[in-house]
Amino acid sequence: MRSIEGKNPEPRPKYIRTSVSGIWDKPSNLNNVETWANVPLIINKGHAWYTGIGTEKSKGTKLVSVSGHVKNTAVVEVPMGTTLREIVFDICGGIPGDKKLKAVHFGGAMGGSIPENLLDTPLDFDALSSLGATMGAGGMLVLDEDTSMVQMTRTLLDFLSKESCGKCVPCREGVRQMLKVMDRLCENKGRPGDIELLEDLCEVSRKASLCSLGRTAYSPVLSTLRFFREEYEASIAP
Amino acid sequence: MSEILLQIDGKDVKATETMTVLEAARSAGIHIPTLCHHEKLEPYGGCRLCTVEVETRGRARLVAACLFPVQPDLIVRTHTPEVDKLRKTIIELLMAHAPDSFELLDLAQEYGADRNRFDQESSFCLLCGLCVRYCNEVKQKNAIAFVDCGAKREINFIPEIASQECRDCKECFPLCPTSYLQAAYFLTEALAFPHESNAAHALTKK
Repeated sequence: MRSIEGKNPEPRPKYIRTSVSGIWDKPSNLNNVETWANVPLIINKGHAWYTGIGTEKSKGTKLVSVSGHVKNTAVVEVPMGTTLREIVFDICGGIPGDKKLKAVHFGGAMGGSIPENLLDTPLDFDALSSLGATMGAGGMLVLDEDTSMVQMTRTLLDFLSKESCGKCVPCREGVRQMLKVMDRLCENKGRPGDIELLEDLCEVSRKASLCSLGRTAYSPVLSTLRFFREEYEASIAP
Repeated sequence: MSEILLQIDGKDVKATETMTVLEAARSAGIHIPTLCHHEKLEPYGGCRLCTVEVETRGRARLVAACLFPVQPDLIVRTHTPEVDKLRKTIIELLMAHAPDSFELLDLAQEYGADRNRFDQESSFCLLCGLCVRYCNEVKQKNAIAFVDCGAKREINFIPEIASQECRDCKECFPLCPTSYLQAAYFLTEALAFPHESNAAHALTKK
């Protein structure tokens, strides 16, 4: 919206919803194309039809972009409530080379990793967020047993450090410092205290950032720390 | 303009409806730390040092006081263990850039921040944007701007404009919380319009 106004592409420093005051201070709605695409179907077929699909709290269908270590990478449309295991194995054909699955990273760069033993989790907003992942735009990265979760997280943070606009300190400096720690860990040169440092940086980025990029940039770090902490611990130099 | 009554740190504060929490607090003599705030400039919300806890209808959350508008019956807490810890980390992140900035040293003492917690960064700039915004909003010259984004973001003088406008102004110099801005200016001057540059002149005299 700031770009349309001809200004720097930085988040609007306002605690006022864009539906109240957006572009040129007029009420403005910004939604994903996927959301708009649902509207004519709901108008034509009725809300009862739409809410008949999905789980109790997550209705309808969801487009999921499946990529990574999977036989058939694709964008698939599934009813809400489909399990992650069904998406990886039944729909997308499983892991190439018949390797074992280690985790799926769900929700894009700002999402979270879900380990194999929780793969029967249904596609549901609440179920995903309880595991530290998000529905996001439905990005699903499949990771096989040979994946280093520390390396994978570093790659996501590197991406986020380039996506950050750099306006606010917790996001710009927090992600910069997190990336430095991840660099050390990837070379197995982590220092004692690095994990705690990451946790502190996650906290400041989550709680004090200006926009939702900074407020969720911590997510891949905290979720991989939650489920794959031993990989971080193994990356600390003795 | 209608009057709004809110509570900051247990004290009843009267404010007008266009005020931010920061303005209301300052009018009542309650101190909230800031780095990127300047009363002549639009609120920016970049440094996040002014993060405070606000409570409405029993729900507490963290907001930037320089941006958050006052509302009736708002409860504001400017110091909680959580808020103070966030400020401490923010100060430490900035001290990786400017460990000797007087403003940061004072803040570090207040919040118990360790200026060596993070490895030193090569740039002294805190990217508070005071210089950029002052030149844009007050002087309307845009002689200095942000370039690039994320961790690569930096400030740069635009030589074509700076050579015309800056010599007799330099009003941004005292706004800078570090010495970075002046260094950036003199570097631009020496490289881009050396015939006007004292630094370049001194070098060629030798």
